[in-house]
Amino acid sequence: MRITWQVCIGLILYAAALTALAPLLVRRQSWYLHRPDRVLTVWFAALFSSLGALTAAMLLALTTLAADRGHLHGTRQALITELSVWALLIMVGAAIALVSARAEGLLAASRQTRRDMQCLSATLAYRTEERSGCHVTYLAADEPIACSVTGRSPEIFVSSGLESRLRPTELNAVIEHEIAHLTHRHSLTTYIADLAATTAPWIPASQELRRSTAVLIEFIADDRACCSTTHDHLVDALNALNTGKGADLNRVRIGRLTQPVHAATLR
Amino acid sequence: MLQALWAAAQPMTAREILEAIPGRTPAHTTVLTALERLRDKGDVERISADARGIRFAATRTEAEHTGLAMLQRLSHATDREAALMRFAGSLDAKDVAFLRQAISTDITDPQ
Repeated sequence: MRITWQVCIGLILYAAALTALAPLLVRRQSWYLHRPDRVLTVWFAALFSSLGALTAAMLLALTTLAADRGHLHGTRQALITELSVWALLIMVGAAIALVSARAEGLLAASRQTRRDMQCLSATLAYRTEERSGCHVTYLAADEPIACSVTGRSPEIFVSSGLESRLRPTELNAVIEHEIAHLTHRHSLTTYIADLAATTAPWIPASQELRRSTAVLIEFIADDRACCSTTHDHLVDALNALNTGKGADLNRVRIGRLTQPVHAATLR
Repeated sequence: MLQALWAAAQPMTAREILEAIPGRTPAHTTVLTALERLRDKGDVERISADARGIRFAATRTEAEHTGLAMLQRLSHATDREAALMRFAGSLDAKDVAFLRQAISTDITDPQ
């Protein structure tokens, strides 16, 4: 039995160590810039591995305590075991309830976004086209916007403001970037990162996972767009839109794409 | 004011808009100033000047106006990242320094 408890503690320590070390592991600068797909894989491997270890520790503790309960009738030890089982069950129930509530909140936001975009499509759309199995809708709006929405029918939205600011080749690069988000299911990746960050906001690694995911998926989509179109067109598009709230990230993306060493990693 | 222009079948003068506004009516000059501001924003355009004065019309329908406001709100919302992937994403201040340093280090030492 002592071995069982040692395994439980070992699993919890493993999860804690992984949570503390994961941000340090992924923050190797050259790796972060040039292998964003691998960095994202490491992040999510660390997340699922930690969750798996904690779940295993919890199940092991519960089964051990439940087995002990049968041998300790009427003793003080039996009462402590009984209380421990209930305490663990309450903890598991609370964790499941918390995750479910947060997941439902995020899903509701996703559903609302899809409804909003359908509504916008009905009022502002002036042209539609098909690209690599994705529906592209052009909206009459001055603000330069390009975005994609997942769902049963993935859709990309491009504003007339963006279309007028970019050359056709640059616009094509932007659409390829959005297609990459859809084909690589970046919305699911973002959803899991958001869920981790909102469920356990007190854990610094969960916040870092969310921030890293937001940047890494942009790097990955940029790289995929560069494979489908000319690299210079994407850089030109980023330069043309290098203003406002997204300017910081745009500058980083341009800096990354224009490095000769990065061009080599894409080959 | 926009509500009055959307409700009207044809362009209106400032005086007609003033009469169409329910409740406490603003001064004529206030209506003209507000119309100029709406014109600057692209919501209203001057159509013509006739004997009764300059006529104004809304540049978009009510549905289009609502749609644009919704699009603007969505494109800047911070709680919709998982559902709405945007080309021009934003960068958290905590990551700006790390990424700038990563880029500059990479340029000076590509290995």
